[in-house]
Amino acid sequence: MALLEVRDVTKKFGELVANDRVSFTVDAGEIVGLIGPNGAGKTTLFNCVSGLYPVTAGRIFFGGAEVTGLPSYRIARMGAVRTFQVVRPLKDMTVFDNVLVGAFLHGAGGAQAREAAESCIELCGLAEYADKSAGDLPIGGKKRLELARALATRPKLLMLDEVMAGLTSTEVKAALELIRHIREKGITLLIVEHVMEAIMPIADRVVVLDGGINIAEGPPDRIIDDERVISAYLGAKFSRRLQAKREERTNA
Amino acid sequence: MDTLLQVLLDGILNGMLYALVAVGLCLIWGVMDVINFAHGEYVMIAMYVTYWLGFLANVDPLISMFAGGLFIFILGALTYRLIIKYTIGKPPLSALLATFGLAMLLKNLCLNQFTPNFRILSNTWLGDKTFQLGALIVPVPQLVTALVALVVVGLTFYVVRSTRCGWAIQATAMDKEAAELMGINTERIYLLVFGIGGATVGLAGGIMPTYLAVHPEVGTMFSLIAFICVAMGGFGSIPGALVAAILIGVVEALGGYYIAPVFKYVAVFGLYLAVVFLRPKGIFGW
Amino acid sequence: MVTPMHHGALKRKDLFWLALVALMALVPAVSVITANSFLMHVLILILLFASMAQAWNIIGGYGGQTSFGHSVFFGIGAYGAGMAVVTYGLSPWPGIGVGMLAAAAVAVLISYPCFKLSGHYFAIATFAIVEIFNRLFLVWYWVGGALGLDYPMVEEGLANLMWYDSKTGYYYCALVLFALIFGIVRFLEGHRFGYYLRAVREGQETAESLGVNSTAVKLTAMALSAALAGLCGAFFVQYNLRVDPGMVMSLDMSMKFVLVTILGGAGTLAGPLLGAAVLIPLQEYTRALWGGLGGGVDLIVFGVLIIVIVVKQPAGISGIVRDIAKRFRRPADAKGGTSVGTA
Repeated sequence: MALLEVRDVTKKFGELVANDRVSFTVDAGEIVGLIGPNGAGKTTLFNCVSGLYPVTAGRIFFGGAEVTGLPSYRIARMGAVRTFQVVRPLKDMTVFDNVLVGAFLHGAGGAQAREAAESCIELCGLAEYADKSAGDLPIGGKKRLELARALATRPKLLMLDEVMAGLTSTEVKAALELIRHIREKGITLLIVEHVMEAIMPIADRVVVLDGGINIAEGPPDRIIDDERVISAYLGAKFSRRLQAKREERTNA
Repeated sequence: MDTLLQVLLDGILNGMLYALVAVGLCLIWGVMDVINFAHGEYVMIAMYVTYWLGFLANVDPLISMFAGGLFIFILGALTYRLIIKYTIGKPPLSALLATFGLAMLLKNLCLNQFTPNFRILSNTWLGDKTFQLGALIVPVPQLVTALVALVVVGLTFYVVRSTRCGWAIQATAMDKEAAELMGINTERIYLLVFGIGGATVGLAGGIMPTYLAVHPEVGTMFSLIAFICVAMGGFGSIPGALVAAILIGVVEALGGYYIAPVFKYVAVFGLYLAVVFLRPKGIFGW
Repeated sequence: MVTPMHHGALKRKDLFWLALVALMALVPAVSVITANSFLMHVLILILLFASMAQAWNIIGGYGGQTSFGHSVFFGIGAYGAGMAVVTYGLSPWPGIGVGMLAAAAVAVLISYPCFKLSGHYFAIATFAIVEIFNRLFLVWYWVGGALGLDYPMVEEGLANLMWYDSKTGYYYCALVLFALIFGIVRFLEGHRFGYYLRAVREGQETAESLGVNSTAVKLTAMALSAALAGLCGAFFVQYNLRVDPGMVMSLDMSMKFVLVTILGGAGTLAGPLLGAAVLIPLQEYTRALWGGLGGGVDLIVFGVLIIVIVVKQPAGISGIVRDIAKRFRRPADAKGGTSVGTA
């Protein structure tokens, strides 16, 4: 049984169809990437799964139970936690307090929650900022805070929305290490990403959205060659040229 | 039936007065997202301006109301320059509390200087005159006030909608930074808006001594009613404020006559709550 | 407003507060103070208003919901105690309990729809509610209508919460009230509810994405804030010996809740006390000195003070104190200091 099942989810804003009958699953222990060109509907899908938006049609299941239409706090409590693309630190609280808010989800006892918060802060390299106001962090720090805070909730499924955007390549490498470590701890990951060098090395499977539709699905090395995907990102003309070049080479 | 029509007429005329008081606040709130707690006190001060001009120099409110308008235009601009300007970047509560302090200051200044005594202007051109319209008695001062309100609200609406200055105001309201990038001097727009908002209220207060008593406490209720009008009408909507004001005038009159005078305001505030619970952004809000 | 809360248990600043309360408990032993009835009155008012402000602070400061309706809860609490004594001839205590529950119930009932409103719409809705309750109480026969309730002479003592000759009994009650409410807020600050409340203030959707039921949190905070405001109201009527709608259920009284907290520093533990300690003596002494000068000089000063503080330092007196402390602690890097103030 899949940990997360998205079944024929459609989301409309008035007449605009942002997600059109999208279906896919995420199994426990996997790292699934969700990619696609700008405006493909990736973040909208995230918002539907995490309960921020009500779906127009379709159903969503988490851990076997239906979560369609549940408020976002309930879904978070069930273990599906997401980060935000445009980071949302709780500005007037310290970094430690931010993470503690997440930790309290599974550790109502103060001491337990505080320990969890401290370890998440360590893990994400935020120890030196722990007492600083979250609003004062640099952007890289804010992204790590977003991650640490979500981790502190002890999620079963962690949904990351473009964590790599705006990071230097050193920071990207460090983030990838962190994500691998998170997977080793037994957390399943669904990652929306734009930075190909960040998602392709670590994803087990990749789901590709374009114009609200799920156009391709599979392991990264197969997806890269998929002409529909290339067409979506680079345009049909380029895809045809690439295809023609490949045929030349095989015929030669 | 005649009584009902009379009550409705009084309510509508009163509502027009509220509209005149509210349109300035609507402009200020719509452009700067500021609730001016001292709005009612502006009315009160304008009332004193025309009262003193009438009492000491025998000038009729119909003329001196323009003096009231000018006086409060200046007061509004000063309020912006000395107080509001510094609350713009800060949490929204700042402007509200600062203007509350201003209201307290203005009210007690007048209390101190003019005593709490109620003052009434006698011998005005319009005072106490009425005429018969069928079975209805139409009070002339209120009617003239209503006409002035119609003109001022209409003029303000026209200026904001259809003049270059008005477009600059709208642009500043929608996105201050973008407006600045377009070369609009938003600082001057804010100053102007507070001034104009003050001027309209000054006209309102200026004409009121024709039929209303002047005293330092008269402003508080006008403030509250102005807030209700503007919020119920919807953020930034002048037609909304007008519609809301008339509704409030009518509900107040009906509630006061058919239930009990003390229930006038229960009905009015209850109306506000009913409207925003159904439409959280007011009737025409965006 | 950013304070580190690592170690939930007793911290250095808690010892400071306990010492302060102990010190204040010793005040009635100083005969010079107790002999001065006016001074005792001012001290009692400071404790009362600090308590009121701290009650408001729960929903207004920590919760970030600016309610101008707290005079309704204050009034319900006052009438609860007042009715018990005047209408039913009982001791005020059962009335206090009923009043607090009623205040909490009313708070939940009206804030549930109000929380759907944003920004200024919400604030104006709370004004509207005060005006409605004010008018309703004016015409309600059972609560005494416009005339209100006047206390008869009863036996002195704690059972009746009444003292006639000296103010010491009231002083200790006010001190207990203060310690209770401040203690509750300090407790919440360090425990999960306090964190969830502040998280909702900082970002409701963000908090919900971390599993926080923001509606439940806001309503609970409102109910608690209202019940405690009601408790303050009950003390008020026992001290004042009379109550009428204009005295308690008015916009002016609501503004006092807001002003004392904001001017002191909303969202901080010390803010309400700082606000009360500065504003109440100012109010009382200017009224004593200049009240007779023909209306409102004290309020003119008050108005100017409000404008100056709000414009200059939105974090209030607690912000001013913090800035001064920072400058003393590290004169070298006062601008880029990494230390975070404690309050």
